[in-house]
Amino acid sequence: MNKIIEVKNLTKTYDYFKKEPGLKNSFKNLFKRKKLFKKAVDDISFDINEGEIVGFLGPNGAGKTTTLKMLSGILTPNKGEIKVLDYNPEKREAEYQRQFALVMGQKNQLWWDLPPMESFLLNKEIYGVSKQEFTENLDELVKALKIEDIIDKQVRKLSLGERMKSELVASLLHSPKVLFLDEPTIGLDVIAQKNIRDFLKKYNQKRKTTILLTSHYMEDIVALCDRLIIINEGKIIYNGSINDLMKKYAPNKMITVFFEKEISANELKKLDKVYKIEDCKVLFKVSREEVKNFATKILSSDLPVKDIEISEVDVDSIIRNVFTG
Amino acid sequence: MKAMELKKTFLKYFKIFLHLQKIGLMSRTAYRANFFIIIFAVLIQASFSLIFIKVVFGFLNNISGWNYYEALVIVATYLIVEGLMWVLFGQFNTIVKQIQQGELDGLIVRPIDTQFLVSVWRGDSEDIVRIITGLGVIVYALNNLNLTLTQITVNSFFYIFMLFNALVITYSLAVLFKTISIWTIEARAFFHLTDSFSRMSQYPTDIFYHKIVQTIATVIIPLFFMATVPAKILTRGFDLKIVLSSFIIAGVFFYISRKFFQFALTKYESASS
Amino acid sequence: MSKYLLIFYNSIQRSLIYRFNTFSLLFIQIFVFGVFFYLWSSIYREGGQIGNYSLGEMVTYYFLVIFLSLIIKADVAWRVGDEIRLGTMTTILLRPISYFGYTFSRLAGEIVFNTAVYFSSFLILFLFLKDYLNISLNLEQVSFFLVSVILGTAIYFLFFYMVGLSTFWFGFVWGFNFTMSMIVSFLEGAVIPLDLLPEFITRMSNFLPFKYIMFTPISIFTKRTELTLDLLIIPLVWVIALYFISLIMFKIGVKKYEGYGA
Repeated sequence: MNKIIEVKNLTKTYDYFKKEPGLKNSFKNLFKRKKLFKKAVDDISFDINEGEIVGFLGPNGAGKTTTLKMLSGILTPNKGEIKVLDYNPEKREAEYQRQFALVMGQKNQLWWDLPPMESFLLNKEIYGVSKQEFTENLDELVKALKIEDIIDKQVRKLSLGERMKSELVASLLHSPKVLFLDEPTIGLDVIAQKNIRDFLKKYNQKRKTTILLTSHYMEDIVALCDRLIIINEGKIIYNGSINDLMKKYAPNKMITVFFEKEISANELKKLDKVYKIEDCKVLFKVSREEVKNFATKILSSDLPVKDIEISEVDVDSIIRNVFTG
Repeated sequence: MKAMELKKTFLKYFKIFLHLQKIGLMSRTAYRANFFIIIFAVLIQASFSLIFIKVVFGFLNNISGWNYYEALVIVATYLIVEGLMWVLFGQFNTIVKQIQQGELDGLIVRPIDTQFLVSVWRGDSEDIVRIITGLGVIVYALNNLNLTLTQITVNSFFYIFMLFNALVITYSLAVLFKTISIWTIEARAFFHLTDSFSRMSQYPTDIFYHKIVQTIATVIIPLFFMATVPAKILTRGFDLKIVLSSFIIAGVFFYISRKFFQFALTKYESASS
Repeated sequence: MSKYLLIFYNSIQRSLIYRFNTFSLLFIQIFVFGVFFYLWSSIYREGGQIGNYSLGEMVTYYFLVIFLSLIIKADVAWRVGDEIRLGTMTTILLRPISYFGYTFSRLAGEIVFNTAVYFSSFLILFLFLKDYLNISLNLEQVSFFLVSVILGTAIYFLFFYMVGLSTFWFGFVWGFNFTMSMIVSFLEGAVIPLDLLPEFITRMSNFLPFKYIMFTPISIFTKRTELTLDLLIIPLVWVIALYFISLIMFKIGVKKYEGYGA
């Protein structure tokens, strides 16, 4: 497996001035200001292989976007090393820049008053894409994202979802090997989100493009990512597959049994692992390995079972556990 | 081989420039009413400069050795340089706006020189009216000055170079001062600063009768080369010392501004994590 | 009443934060003044004269144009226009506060702040040049001047407030504001003193409120005009008239604005 991205001991510190409210303090600030430091990224290390889709998850201000910006060469690290495709992003070499793309969910890179097609053509010039490659990519991308009808409509008249899809097309016209996505589905409706996720998955499978995306939508991560890196307060607190995450932090599953009538306390005492009782509904917390046995036991007992549900602890709470645990 | 590479790069950049001019024009004519109002406003603004000269020269016929028509050529040169700054570079305002809106990132990551991209990203096409007005005034003024056709032709040749240098200097000043907006969000002053320098270049720098002020206006804020020099060359003929200095000052300012821009980019900290 | 005062104070606070801007603009204008100083000085020392203006009057004229511009010119039309265009006016309309009062208090804070900052430099520069320019002042003249400036500022504010309100009908304010600023700066005498322009322009400006923004206060200061009461009464009438017209404009415009469910 090729290591496309290598990050070692990366640190980035911001400084800022403390601002207190009130007229008196504004005057005070004229003469004396307190300088504070914040470690946005604190000694993190990770590797990403070719063709992987890796998700960066974490609360706001955790350091996700800062890391992405250092990988694309926008910010320079205070400490540590970065290597992407064997380049040092800090140098901002044109050769490197031609091989990656950065899409930021909240920042518009398309020309507002013109149709997306004009921005596509501009990118063709800027990235030096041959006419053939451009036409091939354009056709493929436009079809895959189903935006044939809107590429000639002014960007400002497009919906958020259409705009985002156009942004994606614009960024992939030069066939980048690495794609950095910063909150790509933020603010989009459910259908648009799904479309974009499906598209990214297929695109990655076909082209083996390495994708690094930041998000605070669990669905993005679960649907797309092979691997998940969780960042909090500038530090990596988890780096591994989602399945492993589940096993480690969510060893249990929830079994909900719907009974025909209320079960007496006696009968319940005979069953263990009771988690919660709500009238005719009883929730059991059972470890993953025992789920099958337990369910079988309940169903084959003579308790008046109407229905049974086996569900995951939702990923959000898993993540929350990771942060608090 | 190196020459081939250079030519290819130059062509590529030129194509991008043309493309941006095209979509800039498309973008601005998308709002028809606004487009025409701005043309009208630009014309009015240009006429103020001309009216000022006309009124002042209604009371006298010489300002520090410049007569009415020569003074018109200075104003016209200022109009042309300003027009070019707007049409080609949008007065380099893009950098200020993009820093404020955090959109500079999108330009930094592209495989094209960032300063180039920022410079030509948006131009205000309406200001071509300024250039046309300036050219018209020059034709009118040359008509009224006692110059032979040969003189006009020869002088015009050198005028174009002096005009180019004036543009380079004005551009470099804009880069120098507007790049400072990387460090501060209080950007309003920067829109006015270089604009004021240009505006004050429309008066003959011979008015600075104190030597030290003359020197400042020649080497530090080179108002001398921004409009007075091209006009001098056009109306009074070639002067080796002035022409050479024009190239030197333009070169120095461009170099300093470029170095400063590159330095500023390394210090660029885009906010938000 | 106190809510407007609070807005006023907040505006001053905000100006304090953006003090870099304020000071930069000051230095820029000192530079501009410097150039005009040399322009008129070299004309006069070479024996020329502009109309019946003495050198002192000419230099003082441009000195005052530049410094009054710093104090008076706030971005009224821009702000109002943006609030209409972007719909942020709604939050103010929903509150028990008059939009005019809100805008006025905000701008008043900036104007007061600017005056405080610029006045000291203004004073220093003026004392420096006083003798060279042959300017003498007496109390009556200065008080007339101050009242005249206040009235002129009010006219400027009201007029551009209305330009901003025109966004109700035009949808954007950019071009119109720019054009109007140009025209007003010409008709208020900021480009050339009004009495140096051809007679038809001077006569036209007598029927418009703009000359009371710059030309009249400056003429009072340089003693080019006698201190008669009509110099203050006419602009006062304009202020009242413009105020009422702006009220009507707002009433009609707001209905249109709300009609869009903004």
